[in-house]
Amino acid sequence: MEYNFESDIKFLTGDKALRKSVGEINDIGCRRIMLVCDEMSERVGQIDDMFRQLNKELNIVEKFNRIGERATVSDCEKALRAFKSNDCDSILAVGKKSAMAVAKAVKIMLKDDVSFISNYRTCTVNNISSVRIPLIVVPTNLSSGTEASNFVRIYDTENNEIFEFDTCFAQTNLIILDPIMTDTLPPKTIAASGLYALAMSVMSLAAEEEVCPLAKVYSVTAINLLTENMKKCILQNKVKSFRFRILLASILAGYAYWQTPKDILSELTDRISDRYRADYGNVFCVLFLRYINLHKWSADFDTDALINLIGDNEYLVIKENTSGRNVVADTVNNYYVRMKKLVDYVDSLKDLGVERGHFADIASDVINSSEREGGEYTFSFIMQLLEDSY
Amino acid sequence: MKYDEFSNGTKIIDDKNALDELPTVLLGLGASKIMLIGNQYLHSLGYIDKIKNIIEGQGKLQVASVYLGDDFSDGESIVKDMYFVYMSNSCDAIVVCGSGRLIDSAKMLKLLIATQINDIKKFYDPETRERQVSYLPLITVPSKFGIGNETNSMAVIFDKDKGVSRNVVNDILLPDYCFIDGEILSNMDEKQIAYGVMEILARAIDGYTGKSSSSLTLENISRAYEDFVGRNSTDISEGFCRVALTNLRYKTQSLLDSPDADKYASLELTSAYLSKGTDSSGLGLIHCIAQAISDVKGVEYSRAVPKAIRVALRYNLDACKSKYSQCLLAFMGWKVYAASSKEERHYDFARYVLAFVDELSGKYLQTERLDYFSEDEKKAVLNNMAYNVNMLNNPKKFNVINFKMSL
Repeated sequence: MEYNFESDIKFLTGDKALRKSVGEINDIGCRRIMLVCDEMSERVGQIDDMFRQLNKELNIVEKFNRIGERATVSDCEKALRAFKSNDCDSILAVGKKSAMAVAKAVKIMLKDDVSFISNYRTCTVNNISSVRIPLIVVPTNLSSGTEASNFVRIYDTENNEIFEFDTCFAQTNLIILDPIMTDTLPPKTIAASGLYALAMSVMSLAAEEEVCPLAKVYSVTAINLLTENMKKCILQNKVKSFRFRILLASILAGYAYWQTPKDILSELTDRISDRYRADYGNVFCVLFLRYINLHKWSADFDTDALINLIGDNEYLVIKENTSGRNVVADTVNNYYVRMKKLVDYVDSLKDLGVERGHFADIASDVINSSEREGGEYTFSFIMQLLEDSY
Repeated sequence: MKYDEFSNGTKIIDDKNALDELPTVLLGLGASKIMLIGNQYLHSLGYIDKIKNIIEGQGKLQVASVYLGDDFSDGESIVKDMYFVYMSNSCDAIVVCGSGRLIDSAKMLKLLIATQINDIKKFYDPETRERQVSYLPLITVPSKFGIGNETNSMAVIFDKDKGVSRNVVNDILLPDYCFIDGEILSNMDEKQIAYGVMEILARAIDGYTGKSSSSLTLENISRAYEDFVGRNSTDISEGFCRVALTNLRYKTQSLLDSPDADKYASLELTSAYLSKGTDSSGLGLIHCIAQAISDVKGVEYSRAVPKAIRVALRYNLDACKSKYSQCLLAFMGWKVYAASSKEERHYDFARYVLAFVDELSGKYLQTERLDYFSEDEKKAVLNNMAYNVNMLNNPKKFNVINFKMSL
C-alpha cells in the first residue's frame, strides 16, 4: 500500500475558477511556483490567458516550457534541475499530456530525492513519504484525460526505453477548470476528444477486476456529461459551457480509466500509437468500438449494474427480450452511429496509418507482456480485434 | 457555468486488515500523543483496547487518553468534556471509533482546537468563518453505516437552549482518514442495518435531487449556507448518488440473508463514498425533515428517516420528475425501468422506494413507526426546520399546506 498523506484531488470548476483559485493555491502552501507547460500551449496564447486571470497574484518563479509532443527523460531531468535551482516549492502544470507527465515525474523524483529517471530502472518508487509538493493542474482544450490520473509515461529517446509510473505520489492536488481555457475547436476534434472520454469511462465500468469506487463515480459522471453535452458541443462549438463540460468529462474519464487495472485496449493503444505516432485517443476509440462488440464478459460480471450506471439518456437502447450484454453494445453503437451523422470522426486503424502487416507482431508483443502480468486474452482475439478495427 | 468547488478530502482505507495501517497513517500525519474516543459498547467488546494496542504497537506513538462516550449523548456537554481531556493530556491527534453523535462530537472537538475557540455556540452562526490556526489529524473508524459523518465536513450538535439540532458546516471538520473494519461493523443488528440502509437511501435521493427539489427556505437563511449548498450540488456529486443507489437493494438483501464482515464493509463503503462525494448528508430535504422530526418527537435521528423519506417523496414528486425517473434506473435496474412507461417512471420510483422502506420497516422495525403528527407537532416540525441549513433560497415555492399534508 502507498501513502502520500495528501488529501484527494480538489476540483475548482466554472466561471472565474482561475481568479478564485488564488486563495486556495496559497492555502495549500504554494509560495514559489514552477510553471510547467508545453510549447503549443504557450504558442496559442493559453499561458497568457491564464496569467491575465491570475492577475499576477501568484509567485511564479520559473517557467519551464520546452516540452514537445512527448515527455522525455531529458525534459523531466531538466525540469527537476530548474525546480531545485529556483528553490521552488510547488508545480503548476498547463497544457498537453506531455506537460502533465513532466510535472508528475518531477513530483515523484523530488519525493524520492532522485535526480535521474534512469534510477527507476533498478528500483521502484518508495511507497511511503510525507514529502508534499503541491501539484496544481489547469486543463485546457488540449486535455488528454491524464490531468487527474496517477499514471505517467516518460520516453527515453536515447535508449529507446519507456518508463511508466502508476503511483499516488504523482497525485494532482488541485484541478482548476476555467472555461476561459477552452478555445473553440473544430467539430472533428471535439468528437475525437468526447468519444475517447466515453470509451475510457465505459471501459472503466466494464472492468471485471475490482475498481476503485471513485473511478466508478467519475466514469458515471463523465458519461452523463458526455451524453448530455456532446451533440450540443459539436453543433454549437462556440458555446463555452458545452466545451467546458466535455473537458470536465475528459478529466473525470481519464482519472477513472487510469485508476482501473491496465487492460487490453491500453496495451494495444500504447504499442500502436508509439509505433505509428498516431493520436492515442483516436487509436483507443477505434479499438474500443470493436472491443465492446467482441468482448464476452464472464458469467459473474454484473452487466445489469453496468447499464444502470451508464444511465438514463437518449442513447440507451433496450430492445425486447434482449440481454444486458446486448444493451451495452447496442447503446454504445447507437451513440457512435449518431455521432457519425454529425461529424466524420476517424473510425478505422487504416485511417490512422496503421499497417495490416504488423498486426501479428503487435499481437505477439501484447501476448508476451500480458503473460508476464497474467493477462487472459488470446492471440486470435487480439488479431480479430485488430482486423475488425482496420 | 456557475463556480463549483468539489473536494473529497477524506481518504478511505478499506482493506481487510485496515486497522493495522493506523500507526503508519498517524505517524505520516505527524501525530505522537493520541486521544482515542470510543463508546462503552465497543469498549465492552474489546475493540477500543484492540485499537489502542495497534497504535501503541508502533513504539513512537502513545495513546495519551481514552475517552468513552455515548453515540446518542448530548453533543454540547460531551464536547466540553472531550476538550478538557484533550488539553489536559496534551494530545495532538484524535482517533474516534463509534458512530452518530460521537463522531460529530469528535469533529467539533477538532474544530474547537484547530480554531482555538472554545465556545461551540459560536459555530451555530453560519457566518462564523474562523481560520484554522493549528492542524490536528482526525481519523474515524465507524461502527455503524448509514449516517456518513465519518467522511464529511458537517457535524450535528444538539442546541439545548433552542431545543433543536444544529448543523455545523466547516471544512476543518473533515476527517483526514476513515478506516473501514468489517469486524467492528458486524456488531450491527438487523434493526440497525435496516436504519443504516434507509439513511444511505435518503442521502442518495437527497444528493441526487438537491438541485431540482422544491426547496424549502426561510428568508433569513444566511448567504454562507447558500454558498455551501451550491458548492456541493455539482455534476460530480450526482455520480456518487447513482453509484450508491445501484445495487443497494441487492446488497441489503444479501447482508440480511447471510451477514458477514465483507458485506458490512461493502455497505459502509457505499455510505462513506456517498458522503464523501456529496459532502452534504445534511443538505437535503429528507435529512432536514428527519432532523426536525427527531427533535420534535424526541427520538433518534435514524428512527425519523423512514417517515422523512415518505414525506419528501410525496412532497417533491412533481418537482423532481426527471431526477426520480433517472433514479428508477439506478435503484431498480434496467428491466423494471424499460417496463415502466416514460410518464410514470417518477411515480414508479417513489412507489418502489416506499415499498422498500415499508418492507424493511415491517420486518425489522415493527414497533417503531412514527405515523401520527398532531397539528402542534406539525407546526413544531416546520419551526424546527428553520434552523437547518437545508432550506434553500426560494420561500415563495414552499407550500406549507402541501407539506403538512405530506407529513
